[in-house]
Amino acid sequence: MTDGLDATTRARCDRAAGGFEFLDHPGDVKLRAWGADPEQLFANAAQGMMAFLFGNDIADLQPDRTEEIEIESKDREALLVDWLSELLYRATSGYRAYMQFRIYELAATKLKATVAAAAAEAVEDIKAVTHHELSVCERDGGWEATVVFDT
Amino acid sequence: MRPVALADLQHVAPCAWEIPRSFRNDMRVTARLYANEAMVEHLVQERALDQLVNTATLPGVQEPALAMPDIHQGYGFPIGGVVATRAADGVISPGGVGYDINCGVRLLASGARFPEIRDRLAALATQIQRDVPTGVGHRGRITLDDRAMDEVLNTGLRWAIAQGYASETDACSVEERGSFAGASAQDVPERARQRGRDQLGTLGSGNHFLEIQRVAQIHDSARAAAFGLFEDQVTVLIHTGSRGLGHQICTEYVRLMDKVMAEYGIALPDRELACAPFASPEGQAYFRAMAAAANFAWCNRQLITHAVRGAWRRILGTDEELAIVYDVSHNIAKLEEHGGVACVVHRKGSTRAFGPGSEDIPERYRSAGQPVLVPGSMGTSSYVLAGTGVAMSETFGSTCHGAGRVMSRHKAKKAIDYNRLRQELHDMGIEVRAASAKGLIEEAPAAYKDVEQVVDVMAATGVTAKVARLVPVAIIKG
Repeated sequence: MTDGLDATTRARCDRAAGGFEFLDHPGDVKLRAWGADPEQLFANAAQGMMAFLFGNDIADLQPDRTEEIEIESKDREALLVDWLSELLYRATSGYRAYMQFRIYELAATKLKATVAAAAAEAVEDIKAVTHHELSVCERDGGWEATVVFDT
Repeated sequence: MRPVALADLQHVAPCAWEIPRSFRNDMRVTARLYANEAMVEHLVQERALDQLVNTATLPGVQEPALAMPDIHQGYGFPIGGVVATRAADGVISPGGVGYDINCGVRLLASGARFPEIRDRLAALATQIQRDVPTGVGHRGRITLDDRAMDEVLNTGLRWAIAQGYASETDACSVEERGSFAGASAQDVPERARQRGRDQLGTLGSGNHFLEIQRVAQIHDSARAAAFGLFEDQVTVLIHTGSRGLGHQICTEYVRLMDKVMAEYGIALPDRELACAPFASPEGQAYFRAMAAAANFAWCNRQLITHAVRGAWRRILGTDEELAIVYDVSHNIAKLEEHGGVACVVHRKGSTRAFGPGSEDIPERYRSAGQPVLVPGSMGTSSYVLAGTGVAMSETFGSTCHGAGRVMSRHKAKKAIDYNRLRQELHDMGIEVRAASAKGLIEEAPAAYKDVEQVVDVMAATGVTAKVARLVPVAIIKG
């Protein structure tokens, strides 16, 4: 990345605050998320995607329903893509924003979660969650992931 | 893996460069790039050329793997690439088509000259913005029930004709006559249908747009006459694709192929290149689903055409029917014969450019070659080109597709001032109808390569000839 230094600096600032940040990527959007454990990592990545789709107003939305999500994938990286793709599908086909991601079961290839939803109109479009430059890894005693969205 | 450096590129012909197979031991064919020297210097600094090399490793890939001058970094495959694989024993890759299946461009031509409509241009732009849903998440005017969705997916423009949205003449001016043989709704996942059910006839957001244009320059009068184009003529360009339906099909088939790839003994340098043998059940199912998404996209551009025609008649008070010059796809895989071999030609950010004599292009264009529509970035020129015999022998009948992004959306938002951009477009005499400031900034001309250089490179190689240059007079976008 041409702005690698920049990104690292921003990463340090955001790490404590939001649990995710957006990195520069030509043509597309790259999300980096962190968590103390994989559950928090997956929740933060989902929150990051929703913040991108629905903007800052998402904090003011009052959820009016909860939904169950169950996913099985080939490996942990694919699980992250499938988890975000599941939320993207539900958000765009049902015109809903998702929040309060309670992941109560998470193995390398399996995830179960309860999520809250509120009716909302997206302000940004994501076509898809890609496998490009995808990574999920343990680092400095915590977990970190990067994922690229095709916008 | 060592990134591609300037010294790895061999200058083999004017505006043509090659990375030989010896560059990396997993390459099965040469990688060939069309670009001028300034472009090459810029390209080695980003990762698009490494992605081009990756595509040269796909099983069954035919010599050579190609990149057009508008190449930029994609995910897995570069955008602006052409990869032909042998149908008999090669692979098909959803990533080689992209998430926006049959994203493409349609050009409508009027009989009017610009001065005749200048005083009603603002009203026309406003009416089109009113009649064509644009922007993020905007629903179309119709919601497809299951039966109608099946018909759209299976038959494409045949459905639109039956519903009164299109004529037989329209269908004749679209690749595959707007109805992809072998398309099957049964291979389209339920979720893709759900995502697309209320999106037919919508432009979407991002780089999709609609422009009212003026023909500013004729480069080739014989071909322009064959395409029905003349100086100062008013045209309308529509750039959009298969919306959420295509995105979901790609998502689900990338997932499927990522899972089954190992069973077929396929190992790749990037997961997003996920593929399966074309002849396998998974490869065939994807091809039928992709074809169905292509049909959806053609119907999408047709419904927008229908709305534009209505707006035109209403504002200009004529009963003129805007004619389709042509409709090209720049994200698609086609089964074609090249050099006597049946190939799956993946065009991702590349346009088919068949030369004169091809039976796959409308009869009225057969001596001129296929019309190729290359939209510029917002506010800049667009081009009509024509396919040539060189394209048939060198590029699997393919050429460039647009300007090619050089600045990320994120950077554009930081670097470009909204009010100044609006003023600049206004000073150029362009009416702007944009749903959001952000959408306008992200697509600012400074974020893109110069389209003139892109089409000039393709003209220098003889792959496509310049026919006409069009400039925007009104922009409608999300």
